[in-house]
Amino acid sequence: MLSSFKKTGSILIVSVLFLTLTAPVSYAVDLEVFTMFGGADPASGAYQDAISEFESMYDVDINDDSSTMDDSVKVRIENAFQANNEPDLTMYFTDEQASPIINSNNVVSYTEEIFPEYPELKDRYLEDPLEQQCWKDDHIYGIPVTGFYEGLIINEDLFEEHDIPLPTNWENFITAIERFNEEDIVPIGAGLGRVPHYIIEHAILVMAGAEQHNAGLKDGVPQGWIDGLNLIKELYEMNAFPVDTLNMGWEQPREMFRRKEVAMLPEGNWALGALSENYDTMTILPMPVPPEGRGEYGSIIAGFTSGFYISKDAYQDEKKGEMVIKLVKHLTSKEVMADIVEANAGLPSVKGINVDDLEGLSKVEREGVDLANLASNIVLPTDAKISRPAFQEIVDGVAYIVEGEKTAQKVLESAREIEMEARREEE
Amino acid sequence: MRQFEDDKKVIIMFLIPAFAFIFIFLLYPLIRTFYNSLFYILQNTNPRYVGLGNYHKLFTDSGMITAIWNTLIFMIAAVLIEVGLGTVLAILINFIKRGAKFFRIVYVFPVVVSAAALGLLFSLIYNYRVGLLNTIISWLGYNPIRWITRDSSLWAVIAPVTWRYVGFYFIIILTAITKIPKTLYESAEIEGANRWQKTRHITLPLIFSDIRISIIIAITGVTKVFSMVWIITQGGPMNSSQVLGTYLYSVTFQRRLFGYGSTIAVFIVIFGLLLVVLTNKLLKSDDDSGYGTPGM
Repeated sequence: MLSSFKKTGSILIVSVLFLTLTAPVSYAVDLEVFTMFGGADPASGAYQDAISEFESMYDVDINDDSSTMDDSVKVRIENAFQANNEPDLTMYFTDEQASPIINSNNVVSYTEEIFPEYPELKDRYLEDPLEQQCWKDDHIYGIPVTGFYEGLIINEDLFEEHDIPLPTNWENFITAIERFNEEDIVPIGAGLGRVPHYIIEHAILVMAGAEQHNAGLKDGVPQGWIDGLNLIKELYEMNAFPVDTLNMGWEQPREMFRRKEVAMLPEGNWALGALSENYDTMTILPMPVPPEGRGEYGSIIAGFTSGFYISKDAYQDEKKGEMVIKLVKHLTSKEVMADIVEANAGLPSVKGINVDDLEGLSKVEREGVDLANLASNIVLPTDAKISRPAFQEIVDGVAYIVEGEKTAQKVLESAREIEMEARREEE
Repeated sequence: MRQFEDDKKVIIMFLIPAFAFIFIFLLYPLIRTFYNSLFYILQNTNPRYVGLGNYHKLFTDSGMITAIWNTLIFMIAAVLIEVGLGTVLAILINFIKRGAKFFRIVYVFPVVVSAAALGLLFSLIYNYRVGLLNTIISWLGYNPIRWITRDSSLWAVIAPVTWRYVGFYFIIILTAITKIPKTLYESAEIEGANRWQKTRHITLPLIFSDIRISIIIAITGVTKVFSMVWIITQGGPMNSSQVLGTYLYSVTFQRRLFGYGSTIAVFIVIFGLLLVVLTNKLLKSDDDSGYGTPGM
């Protein structure tokens, strides 16, 4: 009898505990949020702190689905918008890649709806970053967080150790490649076969110049683009890249750079976070321009190509509408933005942040911000100018070009054909 | 009659949930995939009807042709290595008296490890600088080798994928062997048959139907190969290790061509079905000739 009571009692206690632990806590508002500040992103910590702070300020539960970007995540987000199953707040690209998001008609126009009602949100932004968010119809659908810049990240100590001048001009760049090859150090860390490596846009920029780079492929294949891809072949033939460059992703060149097996790494500010142990011995420079290049030394690839999109459903919802605006205001506040800038060494998009005052930034990160601020010309990446399948055709074609299996012209003509087919869709 | 009608209703009632499940998660996606294959769909927006345009493209696309060819090579390797080696190992293990349990575990172990983990393991094994193979080669005093090149990449992915499944077919065949009555072997022994003769005239004919099923599973399995190839080579360099699964992913997820991706998916289904029918037919003719009939 006693044991039966014990048994019943135990079951009751366990059931009560189970129900208590699993019963959903009810909040006034639940918000679904997706950002790129997930996983190993350098800003994920600062972002999580901002979210926790927001949750402590309001009666809100943030269901945060943030993740680092890869193709499958991008497709998931694009499809969510197409299926009208999008998060309430989404941080996503605002360049050409935003087409499926904006064309889904499920995002609110800041220009038309949010800014007139919340002018303070617009006022906090610097003019340039906000202007860069303008879509083809002159509306702003996503407001920026931090901007990015790309450059040649340099293992400065390797240059000093081997008495090689820094690659501040083409001659030095070529000397560095030759000398590092002699020293059995890989001159440039990049994967040419598996990933859309930043060397592609760097090469196109220096050979094509800003104007041709920005022209895209719609009016024909610019000669500068052909020259840019041929430049990669030239560097490949000089053994400037790792032996197994055709089977390398993003992480291997970074790891080699960390281990001082690579002298130069064409990458963006987001990679700096992953190289933090080398901070004291690193610098970042613009890609040098060959004598025959149309580019200008100091021109860099940079900009504000991501931002916060607010779902139409969330904005029109009685409870969520106000809360989602509060969240956007919080995440784009000067304080949160400063924390994110300190974490990812990006460019601030709101007024009142002086990078010199941010103590958390390392020497190389400050140099990176200066690189962007002092750039003679700023252009957006290649994939911000052309459609996704056309860009992928170029990415896939690079391996064929460097191996001499296809000409740069042939690859670009094929990419243009794909581009025209994609644009027909838009028309 | 009334009883029968009532039974029929009950049967239908019980079948509805299963049918609904199959319809929602298998048939509808298949129909929808076929429908999408008739459109040009970029990033899942604004579909434009192109009729059979995507199907025409399928057979003129060099990447696709390479993927089909590589998949066929993969299938031959899968049959020979996965089923062939699995059968040989099962027969050998059946001979030994001690340690059979140990070998069973060893051979089956790779099957239970996830494809992603094995893919990562092999990409590290092949790594040029820190890989296991080149480390051994360096110890032996030789220069490191690029294991993944245009010529070698297909074999570099075939090796781990087929190795992983040897244990799976090994278990299927071993189970079939253990079902063969011992009396047959005892009679053969009395007649003076050696091990090879017992294998040739008793074991193989009696497990032939299991081998046939294994071959069909291995062949259809290759149309689904993806994770390990993607992790080790991503179908490269220059499409050299591209198989149907990786090409489908590349077109759909990297290029965002959902219509064309659907066309490839439809092709994979038809291709897989055709191969199953063909294999079944080829092997059945052997079966019918008396090879697989135990005659008991």
